[in-house]
Amino acid sequence: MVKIYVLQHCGSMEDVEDTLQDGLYKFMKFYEKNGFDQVDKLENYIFSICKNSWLKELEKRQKIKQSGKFIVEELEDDRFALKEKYRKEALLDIIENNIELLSNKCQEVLNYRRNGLTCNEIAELLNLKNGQIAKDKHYRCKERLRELIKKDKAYRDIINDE
Amino acid sequence: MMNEKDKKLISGFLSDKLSREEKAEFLKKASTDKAFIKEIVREIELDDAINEKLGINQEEKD
Repeated sequence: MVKIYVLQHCGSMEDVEDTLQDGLYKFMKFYEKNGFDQVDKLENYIFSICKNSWLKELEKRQKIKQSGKFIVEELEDDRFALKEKYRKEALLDIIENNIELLSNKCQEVLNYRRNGLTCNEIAELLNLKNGQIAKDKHYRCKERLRELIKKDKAYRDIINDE
Repeated sequence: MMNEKDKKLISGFLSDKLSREEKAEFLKKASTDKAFIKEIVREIELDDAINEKLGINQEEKD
C-alpha cells in the first residue's frame, strides 16, 4: 500500500524505502511509549503514518521547487521515471523467461489461472481431487517461479543496479 | 546478504503469517535497518510483478 501510494504521488523507489522506514520508526516510538493492542489494524495504522509522512515530504519539496532553485531536480525525476519504466519491463521479461523453465504441469496451472479459470475448473481439467488442491499447486508453482527468478543472473543484475 | 532469519521474517510479513512477537521483531528491525527495508521493498516489487504477469489481482490474493 505504501509503495503504491508513494509511487503514485511523485515518489521514487528510494522515497518508498525512506517513507516506510520513517513510518515504522515513528510507529516503534509510539509503540514503546503507548503499546498497541489493535494488531488487526496494524497495517492500516502504519499506512496512515507513512502517508502523512510522505505528504509532509512532498509539501517540503514543493516549497523548494516553488523557490525556483531546483529545476534540475524535476529533470532528474523524469529521468528516474523513465529508468523505472524500463526496469519494470525488464522485470516482466525475466518473469516470462522463467515461467518457461517451470515444469509443464506448473505452466499449465499458471496459464489456466491467468486465463481466468477457477480453481475448481483447473482441478477438473487436471484430474485433481478438488479446487483446494489446485489452489495449493498454484501457490507452490508461484513460489517455485519466485525461486527461479531470484537465481536468475538477469534479475540479480537488475537489483544490483539500484 | 540477508540471513535466513530475516528472510523468514520478511516472507512471513508479506504472507501475513507472523505471530504477535514476530511482528514486533519485524517492526523493530524494519524501523532501524536500511538493508532490511530495501529487501522488503524488493520482495514487494517482485511479488507485484509476478502477480501482474500471472493475472492475479488483489481480491484473489486475499
